[in-house]
Amino acid sequence: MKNNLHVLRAEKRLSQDDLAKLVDVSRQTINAIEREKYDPSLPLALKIAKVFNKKVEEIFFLED
Amino acid sequence: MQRIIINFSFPYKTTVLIFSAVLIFLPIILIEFIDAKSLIDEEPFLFRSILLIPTFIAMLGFIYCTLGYHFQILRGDELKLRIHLESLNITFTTTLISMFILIFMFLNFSPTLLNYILVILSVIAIISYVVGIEIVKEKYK
Repeated sequence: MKNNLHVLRAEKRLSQDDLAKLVDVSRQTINAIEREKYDPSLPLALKIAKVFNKKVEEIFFLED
Repeated sequence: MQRIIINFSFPYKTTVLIFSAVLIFLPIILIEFIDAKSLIDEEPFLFRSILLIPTFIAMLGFIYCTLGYHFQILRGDELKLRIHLESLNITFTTTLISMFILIFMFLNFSPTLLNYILVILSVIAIISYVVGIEIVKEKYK
């Protein structure tokens, strides 16, 4: 699954650590999600979407 | 009761782990300094207590640390839980395969070693879990 999390994070000037604390996970989890090595659970994806005030499908999308 | 266990934070896990590890070896160290042979003959109950009490406390300590780690992983970061579960998968597979191989080898070439198969498999399980954690961590880096 692909995502544009690093772009959204840069727009909001949030570090990986800042975002991790906001959604209550480790920085390594955010890093793994951004590098598309790990797909977040639904609750985590919803929390991330809430931080950026976007829908989940605007952040995460299936590979073509 | 279940809610109390789930919400309990299991503090000082590292301290308890080190303390339990020391207590496991304490009887061996103590026996070096006492006259074990005469103690077994004259005070067998005292000798058994020297072995029983530290190992019992150590057992409780290891169980405490194991439960603490279990709930820490369950309540914590989801990627860490994923890594833990994938490592357990590797551990289970490795231990099962090792068991089949060891039973074949011991039955045919060294039947007395079958007495130790549980200990050998426990060591294989712990080592494969530790190695599995590192392998799975690399996958998510």
